Amino acid sequence: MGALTAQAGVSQPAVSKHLGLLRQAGLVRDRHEGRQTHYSAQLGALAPLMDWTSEMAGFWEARFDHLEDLLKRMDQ
Amino acid sequence: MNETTTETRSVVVEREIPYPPEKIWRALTQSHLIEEWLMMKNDFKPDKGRHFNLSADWGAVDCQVQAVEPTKTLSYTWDTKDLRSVVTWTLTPTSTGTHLRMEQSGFRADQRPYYQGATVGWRKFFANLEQVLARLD
Repeated sequence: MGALTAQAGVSQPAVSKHLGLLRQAGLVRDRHEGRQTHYSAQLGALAPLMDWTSEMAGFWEARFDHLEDLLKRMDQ
Repeated sequence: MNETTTETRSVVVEREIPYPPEKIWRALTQSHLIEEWLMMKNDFKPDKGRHFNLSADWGAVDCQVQAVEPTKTLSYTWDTKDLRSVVTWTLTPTSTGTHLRMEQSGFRADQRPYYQGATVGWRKFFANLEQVLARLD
């Protein structure tokens, strides 16, 4: 936990609160080892949120970026 | 929450673009320009009813032009192995250029959540989280 706090530059209580919420949501799993608690991400838990529209949203946002670049270069 | 019904869902992306509709229309309807921004090989022509294909290393898309209203509206079907959809572009002139709107609406055959495939923000976020967590042990 301490290392995570150092990494994130966020206070320890804030980190533990976030991890608690992530754990409740099943997005992170914790494992106690002596005084230390290890957390690991549960990628599969997020699956139901992602359907084809979230996939294509990323696709189209990138295409809009390319389109804007192209428009800048056109007619120069 | 993710019942496998086949009700239509849609994605909308819209942006204010600082160029007139005519210029954007060219980029949306000239095959060589489409290839640049969509990054897919294509034999597109803005003719109603025309079938065309889009192809890239990641896959291919079968399309048919549905509606063409020069500098205003363009829509075509966008069908892949398991997705049946329609992409509709709407160009609205504004004082500073054009409000460009893209809507893709349709459904996946089994509407199963889309696990594999292209980059998805969440996947990257979790990869980063995984790295941070891994460095803790």
